Amino acid sequence: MNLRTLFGLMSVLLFAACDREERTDAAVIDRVDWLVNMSPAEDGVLTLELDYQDAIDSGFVIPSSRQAEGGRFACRLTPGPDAAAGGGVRYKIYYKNDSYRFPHGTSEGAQHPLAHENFYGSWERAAEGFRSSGPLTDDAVIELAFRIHGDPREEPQYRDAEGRSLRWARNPRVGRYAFMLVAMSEERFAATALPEGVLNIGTPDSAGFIDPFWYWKEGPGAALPGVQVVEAPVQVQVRARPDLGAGIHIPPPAPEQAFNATCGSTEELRKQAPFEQFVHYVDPSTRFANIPLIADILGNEYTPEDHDHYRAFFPPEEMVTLRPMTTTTPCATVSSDPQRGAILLRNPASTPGDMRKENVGVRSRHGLAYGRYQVKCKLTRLLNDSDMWVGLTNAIWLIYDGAPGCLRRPCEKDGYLANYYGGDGDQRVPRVAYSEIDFEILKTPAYCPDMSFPPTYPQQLADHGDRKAWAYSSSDSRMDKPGMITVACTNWDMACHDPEAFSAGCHTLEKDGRTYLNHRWSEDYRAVTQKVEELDATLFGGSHYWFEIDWRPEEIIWRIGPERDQLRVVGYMDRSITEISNVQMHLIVTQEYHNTRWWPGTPYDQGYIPFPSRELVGEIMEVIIE
Amino acid sequence: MCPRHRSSPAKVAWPLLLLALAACGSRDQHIPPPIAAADVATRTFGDDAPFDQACAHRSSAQFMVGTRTIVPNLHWDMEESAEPGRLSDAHAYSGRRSMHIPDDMEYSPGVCRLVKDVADTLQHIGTGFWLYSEEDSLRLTLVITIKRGEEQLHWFGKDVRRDEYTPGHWQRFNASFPVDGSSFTGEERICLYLWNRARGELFVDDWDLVFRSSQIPGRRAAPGIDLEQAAGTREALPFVTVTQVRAADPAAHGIRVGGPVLPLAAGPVVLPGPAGYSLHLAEGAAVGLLRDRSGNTTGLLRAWHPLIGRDLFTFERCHLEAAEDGILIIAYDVDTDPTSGLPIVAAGPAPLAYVLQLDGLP
Repeated sequence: MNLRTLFGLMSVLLFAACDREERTDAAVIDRVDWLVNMSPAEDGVLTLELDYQDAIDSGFVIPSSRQAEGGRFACRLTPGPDAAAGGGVRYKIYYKNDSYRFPHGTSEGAQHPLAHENFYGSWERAAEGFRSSGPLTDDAVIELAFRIHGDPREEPQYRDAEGRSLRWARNPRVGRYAFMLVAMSEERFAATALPEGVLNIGTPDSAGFIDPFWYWKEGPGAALPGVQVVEAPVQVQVRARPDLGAGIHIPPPAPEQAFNATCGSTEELRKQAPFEQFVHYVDPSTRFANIPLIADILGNEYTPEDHDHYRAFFPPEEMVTLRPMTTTTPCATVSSDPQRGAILLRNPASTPGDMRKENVGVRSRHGLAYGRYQVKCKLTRLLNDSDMWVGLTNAIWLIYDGAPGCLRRPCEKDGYLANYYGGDGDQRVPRVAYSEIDFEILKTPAYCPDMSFPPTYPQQLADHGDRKAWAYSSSDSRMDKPGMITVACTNWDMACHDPEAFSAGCHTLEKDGRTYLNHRWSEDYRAVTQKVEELDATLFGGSHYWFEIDWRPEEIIWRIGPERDQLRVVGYMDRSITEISNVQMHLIVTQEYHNTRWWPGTPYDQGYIPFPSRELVGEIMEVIIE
Repeated sequence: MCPRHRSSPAKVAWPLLLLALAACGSRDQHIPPPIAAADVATRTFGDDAPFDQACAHRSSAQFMVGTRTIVPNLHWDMEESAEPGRLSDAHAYSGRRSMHIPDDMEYSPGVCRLVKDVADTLQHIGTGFWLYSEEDSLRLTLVITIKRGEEQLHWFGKDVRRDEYTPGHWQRFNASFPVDGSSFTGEERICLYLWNRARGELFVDDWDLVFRSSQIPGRRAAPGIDLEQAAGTREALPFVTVTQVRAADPAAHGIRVGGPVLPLAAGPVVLPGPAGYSLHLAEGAAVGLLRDRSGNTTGLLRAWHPLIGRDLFTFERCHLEAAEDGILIIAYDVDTDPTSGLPIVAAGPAPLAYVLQLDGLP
């Protein structure tokens, strides 16, 4: 039990024992007019989109100066009869993200041990406590303005070398915001010894930050006499809708041969582009030998039988060894289309003398913690008419943004494995930044249930005179269905053993009457995966498809569907089985070549899949994060 | 299921069996696929019943390593056995029968092999079967042992986990056991069986057993070309382009389904044109090698074109001839005549003949 829990528990016991004095809300504020400069809808909800302009430097602010005069929410307080009598009003405004948060308190009345992670704030400067109205006249009205911004607690880990707050390192979350005003008379304020962590939300006490929404509504502040707590009937719904036609930024230095008006390193793109080209880190372990054939697989120039035949009979000395490649000329394989508001990915074609399996993708530039990441896209087809796989993995994923100070919450039991590529013998550390949540879509079998894995593919024999002898992917042993690809949903928890149902192998998770099969290779494997089979033609054969990663503090839900309002769940995990990251992440969409050794049981060997003779084009049409 | 010849009564009996199952209100809702007729038989290896009749269609592939015959892939469809009592027609995943393990049998019949008969350098053992049981308290372990003489080198087991198994449904059970066979002499004995720990009644169908070698037996090992090392390595050979094809009649060149095969070509075929390139296709090669007059290999040929829609070199036999406008390839598979034992042109896949015109000869 930490100090905060103990403190909360003792408070509860004390209040109960003393026949606790109920707080009688003082009438220091007669009326609050919330967000008077905005126009919420009839249901009291004001919807705002994150303004990307300049947000790369300042972090997101809500509202921006383009959304409200002065870039602030304005409120008007009308003091009540107790205000003047008490020498004026002391007041403080609070906001919180209500969509993506832990509960404020526990059932014992203590602050929830993770409530300090919740996104809440107050005045622009964290250190500013309760404002004073000063002496009031009868008809006095108090005007106040505030905004939601990053790093509202102005924490030291989010500062640059000069000590300036890097607001973008802890950006406001998307979702619903609620507001609360706490007010009391000057007299009462003077008589009340508020903890420093309540006056200054950026000051932690010995147990950490105090969540003001717990303190004033459930904690000790709830019992303070003469304190008026007013919750706003209006809320603000925030969502991000990056303009995919606003360009792609390339971080300098970079070769400029392929730079163009909507892709490059200009200052304008640096300020406004929501995406940059993603350049994969290619580990040496991804090296593989490949047949030097260049073919149009989607044009049915290669079949599973060809794959099997080459795998058994292609002269090994004519194979070429390489790693998946990344671009050497940024902007050549990604483009932003302002007219259509879309981003195109083009895995380049190979030519004789330039054989390449090149990974292509884009990465968002503004980190966000949590949200429903919805991507409308038409990524490349993965299978041809004979069920031959092009060798690509279409991936829609989130990765930690690497912002200063962004580390996952401590893994209490024995720590996280320190490195993504660290192997089983990697050291364990209390905190890491690395976080990843994936959709990876490719040709591979399900791993679960354990009793059905791995498929019993036959041993190939290099016996040309017997077709059955060299059959592999074309053998009778294939368990997957024609035309099907696998949607793999993965959370990288860096093998933190804290979850109560952490396990290796295949284990079920029940949710809403459905059973989800989780697979983790070993106790020290860094990720847990669920898989479902879907039709390639459905996901990538139509005009578009939607993919959603719904990343929440205590659960992750993966959904797909033909339209945004027709999504279905294909993956579900919660904190009972995997540690869910709390650090900001970027969205990445890629079409990438994997070494098939990463995917045991895959019917095709990447090395016997030809180099592409045509560009493999994917299109990202819309991204919404809410 | 292993496709095989069936007598007509079996085909007639099939709908009756379905009706009977329906009438009995069987809890097994799985409807086995009907038996397809194909000219495939069983193959015997001297195993105990019901493993005495392996499905030849999926157990025939073999390879000679020295004087050893390696048979790495085995499949039992559990339709035929010299001891029919080991089989049951109460439930079947495919066909009509499955192996029956009664509730008083703790250890199932098994299969044993010597390492030298199944792998070059054994790397792992894979196996899988379909399982049906109505037992709620099923406790089943697939066991593989490897012994050298009386010394047990390995004991592998994989359990059917209760939470993964649904009684009354056919379910696939696969397992794979890695083995470091580099120190094996070949005389080690591998045995596989089921340990029916709860003594439940079991039905097992369509059993695969695969012994995987570290390399594909018969495939050479050789280093490839490192694309990332700029100096000191060879360049990858380019594939030449098949620009056009012209269909020909295999029969006009003596290739008829069921007829005799052509003698294997003795040597390379010189392509028309002044450059004097020749095409070399070794028996069983995946690609043809193009060589210049000096004998240097300068390119690779894949006998593929959109109009053909398949690679002619995947056929078991390819006969090459020079043609005026390119190279004629007559491609066909080979079967064995059941009466004479002689090789004949297979009906499926059907023989093909095309003249390939090439461009971009290096």
